[in-house]
Amino acid sequence: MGNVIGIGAAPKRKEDQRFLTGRGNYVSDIKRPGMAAGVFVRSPHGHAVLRLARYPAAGASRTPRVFR
Amino acid sequence: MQISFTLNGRPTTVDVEPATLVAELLREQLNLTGTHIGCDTSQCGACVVHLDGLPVKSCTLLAPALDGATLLTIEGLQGAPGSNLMHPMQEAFREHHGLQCGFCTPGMLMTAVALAAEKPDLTEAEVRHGLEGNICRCTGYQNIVVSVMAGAAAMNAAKGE
Repeated sequence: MGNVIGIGAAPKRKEDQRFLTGRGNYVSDIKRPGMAAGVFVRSPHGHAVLRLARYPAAGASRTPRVFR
Repeated sequence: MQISFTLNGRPTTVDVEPATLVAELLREQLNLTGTHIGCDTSQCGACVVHLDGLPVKSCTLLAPALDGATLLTIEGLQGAPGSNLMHPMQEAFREHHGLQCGFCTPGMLMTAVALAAEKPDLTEAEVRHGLEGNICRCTGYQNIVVSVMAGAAAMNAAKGE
């Protein structure tokens, strides 16, 4: 198989070196200045009618470093 | 609190909150993001590091436990000390396609190296048993097991030289 090109070839992957050495840089590895984490708050009730939304959620605004 | 330990061969002193997990300390404070957190519940094994030569899940270990210890992470895994060469186990994973997305790979490698170091003549059954604490969502483990067997053989050959 050594000299096969195209279909049937077993080429070395270009990305493996960084994955194997801990330098993959996945989304959760990325840090940016002022970066925030997102949280989705979903309804615990199926097919409920939304009558009133308080925003931000009670308590969230009192927590330090919570953005709107 | 202040803790001092050897990290990938270098003396390291850090200030940590006592409740910090080793995985968090590595990723967030020391910017060593090769140690991955896949589950945070000690099931997936993506966070495996070597503590005094033994494989441990760093998401289940508190940072104060590092004081005075020697820690090796995926960033410190290498061929000959001080070289840029990859470790034989890393080479084997590349050669035998033992990874796809690579997320579980650092933990797989750290577990595999510890397995091979502990027992030179690993059988396939022992490799499969030894990797039970490492979960991969891409592959069927076939190539990972093949890679670990090849990597262990290469480690033995290097030792014999």
